[in-house]
Amino acid sequence: MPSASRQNQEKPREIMEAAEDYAKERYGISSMIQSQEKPDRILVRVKDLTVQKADEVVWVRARIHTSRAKGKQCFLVLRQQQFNVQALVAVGDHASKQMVKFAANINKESIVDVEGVVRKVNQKIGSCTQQDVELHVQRIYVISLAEPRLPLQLEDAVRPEVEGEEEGRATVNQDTRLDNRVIDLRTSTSQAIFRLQSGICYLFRETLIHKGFVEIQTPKIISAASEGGANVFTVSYFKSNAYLAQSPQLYKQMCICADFEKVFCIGPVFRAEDSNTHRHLTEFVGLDIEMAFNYHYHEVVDEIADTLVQIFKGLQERFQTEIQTVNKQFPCEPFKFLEPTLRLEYREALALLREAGVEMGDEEDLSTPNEKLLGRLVKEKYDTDFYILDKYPLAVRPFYTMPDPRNPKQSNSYDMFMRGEEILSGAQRIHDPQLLTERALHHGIDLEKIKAYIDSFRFGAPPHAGGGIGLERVTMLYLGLHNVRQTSMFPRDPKRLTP
Amino acid sequence: MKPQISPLKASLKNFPLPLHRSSAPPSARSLAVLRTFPSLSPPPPKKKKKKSTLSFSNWRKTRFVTCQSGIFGQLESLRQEGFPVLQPLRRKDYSNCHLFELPIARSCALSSHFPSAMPMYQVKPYHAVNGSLCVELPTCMYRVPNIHSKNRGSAFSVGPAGHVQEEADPSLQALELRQEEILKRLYELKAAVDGLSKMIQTPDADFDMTNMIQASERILTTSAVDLDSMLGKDYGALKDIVINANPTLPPLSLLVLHSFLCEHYKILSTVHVHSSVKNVPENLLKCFGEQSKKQSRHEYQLGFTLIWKDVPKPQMKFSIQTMCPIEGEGNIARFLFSLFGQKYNAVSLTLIDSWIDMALFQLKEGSSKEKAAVLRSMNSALGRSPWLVGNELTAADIVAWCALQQSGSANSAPANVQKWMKSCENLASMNAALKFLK
Repeated sequence: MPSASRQNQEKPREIMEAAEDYAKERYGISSMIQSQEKPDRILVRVKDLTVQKADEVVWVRARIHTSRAKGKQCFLVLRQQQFNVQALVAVGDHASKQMVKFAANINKESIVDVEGVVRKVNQKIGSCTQQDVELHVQRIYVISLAEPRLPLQLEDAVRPEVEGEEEGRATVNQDTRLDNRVIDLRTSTSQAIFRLQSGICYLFRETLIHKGFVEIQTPKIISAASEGGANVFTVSYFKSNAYLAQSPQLYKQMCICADFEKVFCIGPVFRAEDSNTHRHLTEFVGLDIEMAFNYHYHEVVDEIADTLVQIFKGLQERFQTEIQTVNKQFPCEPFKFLEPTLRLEYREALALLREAGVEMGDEEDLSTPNEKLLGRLVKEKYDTDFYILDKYPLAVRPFYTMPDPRNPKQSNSYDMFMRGEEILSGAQRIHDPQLLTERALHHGIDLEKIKAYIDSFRFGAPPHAGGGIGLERVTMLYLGLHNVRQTSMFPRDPKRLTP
Repeated sequence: MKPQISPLKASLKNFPLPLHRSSAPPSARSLAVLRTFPSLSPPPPKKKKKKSTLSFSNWRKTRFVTCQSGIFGQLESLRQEGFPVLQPLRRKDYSNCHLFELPIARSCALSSHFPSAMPMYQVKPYHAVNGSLCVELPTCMYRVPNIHSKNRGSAFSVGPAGHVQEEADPSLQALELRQEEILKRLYELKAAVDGLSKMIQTPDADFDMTNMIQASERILTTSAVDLDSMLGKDYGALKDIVINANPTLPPLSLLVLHSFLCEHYKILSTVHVHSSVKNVPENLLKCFGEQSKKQSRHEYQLGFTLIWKDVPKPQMKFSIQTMCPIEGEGNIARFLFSLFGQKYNAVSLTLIDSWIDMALFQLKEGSSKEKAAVLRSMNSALGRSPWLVGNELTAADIVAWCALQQSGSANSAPANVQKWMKSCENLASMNAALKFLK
């Protein structure tokens, strides 16, 4: 088939010879765009194709989502991001048989430029987002051709998971999706997930800056393990070794000691934990907050909780379409929360669990099933998916956690939960080098290794508290998804380093 | 046919619910032939992550039968009949066992397939290497005497079923006795309830009202206010009463009752807004005033959590395990009022109940005719006593006063009612509620 160049497109329409292909300049494969020219053509967004544009001639650039030929006509679904519209190529004044055949044979997922008339339709088109109009194609040029065989079909990738896998309909499994992430990310569900995730980041920044926080950047290559406990990745650093930061905590705290008072940072966090669960990644985005307070660490807890509530509210207001889109494939109850956030104490949680028949020691940490059960119990009683658990036993928290002044077995520490899963863990930090040394010795930590950490408090440090949130987890739990890999664009886990 | 008991503690531990609670002992008869395990589960199937949470109630419906492969031939015939056979287990403890999954009903039927006195070759003790091998037994079941150690001389001369019955464990007998006792008591109770219901259903049955009142008064002599006894077992944490209410219809009487409760107990009051409602008026958000929350939560006697939420009528949740939610302003008011620990006789209680219903359904929501009727009867009742019921303030007064305020007919009330309203408003708690009406 002849390829039509752009100059040919403007030729008068009268050149038609019935016997031959009278429309051969109206379709073809466009030459590669190497920025040769700046045409005046205005490309209309698919989402703007509405009844208001009826009977206008418009140019659209979109992907071929599906195509279906039927004798003398061919129906295409053109997709642009999460929006799509039906297009019709029919033999007539503007299109020849050959053109219809060409349109029908364009590989799925190819990018095309289409000129057409917007026509109102009588019956709503259920399968498209633009339900009231369709596009009657006059010209169609392929801009970028996709390979004929796709590693996964987009329809399969957005099909809701039905219990029992009846009908033998294909679904795409997680690994295929992640191996071909570029295509998987084109699905309306993925588009919505990552738009919402971007919204979380935006709302986090907006809320905190409004509250007077300062955004900081912390180094990710560090000389020693910052928290002492969790596993760190070792990287070779010229002649010696360095580590990838498993938390920006030390640097956040140093900023507090440097009188920034309220700081936050958004950045990658690395955890060399070999755990292959639905909610662990080896690299994730941490939303970290640290704040100096006046007299009680609840000032900080309230501030963090309010930030999250503002994020939830903002998502509810601004991202309703995205939430609906994800719900279509992964149905779940809307996220519920209370304002101000419910704050329970650890012993209350234990009481709830004991009432439900769980046997647990006072100083035992919550196991994952108990955590979930507790989430269900709290939801039952207070109807909230988001709550804070305060006053954890000192024994289960890291050495730098401030002990409770009244009860030596408790600590000034807290976790926050969404849908029964932990998203944030935080505490009042010890800002006194003396006490910090004592606690470190009690935990059997080598003082040499954390010398820099302790030393940063030697020149006067305000009382402070903070915490870190996992962005992927918040997205996952807000949308009620089941795997954190769905909300990480290019997830890293013990078994996956690519793409 | 040696029973196999295997330590499955490890897998049991991982289950969120305690097993001993719901496992019923299998019948002794079927035990003798085969050991059935109602509460043992195979290791949870390692399928998809999502489905690995095996539902507790599902696997309780099946029993798992293990038996040695010596009788596998017979069990093979069972399989042909359609019993599902699970894979031979690979764990050490199960090395020559086959696991059969049978519905409870059919596991009993299985015992008939093994004639009790069936001649069989002697099976060597399985753990005979050291003689005394210590097998860790799961504690969730009662023990059964070892058939082999006692039967070695006269193997199978006595039917296994009879054998177990002869040497029944004394603890088992005690259990049986206890069960009989409980059943007896249950029958007695049932008879009593039946008698009572007969009495109620036939209105002209001659029962002595005064007797009943006296009886109830006798029971209610202990009027000491004990929150623990009223609100259930103490787990050393705050007892939190959660009330969901719609901000468009604030339950005034509950707010009044709350401030009365505050005079009696040390109460931690909090107000939340649920994500299902927006724009809650400022005065409702501050309906408990500025609270000084200087103490930690567990130092309070009672928690009172008010959640403004999109609910058709007020709802109260207290203990989600042992109590269902209470719905309706009147019912919650009754519950809250009971926390004061005052005891009334049956007549007063009935009167209080009837006033509460009248106030809510007729005075507050009823037609103008109904309202007038309630006001008239209130007027006559208040002519006889200072408060609606007796000489003390009760829940009836609180609910009625609030309903009257909210109905808007407070100004047109008759003289006795006006006087009563004055004395109500003299109480600080009720006076404070007036600010919600504006």
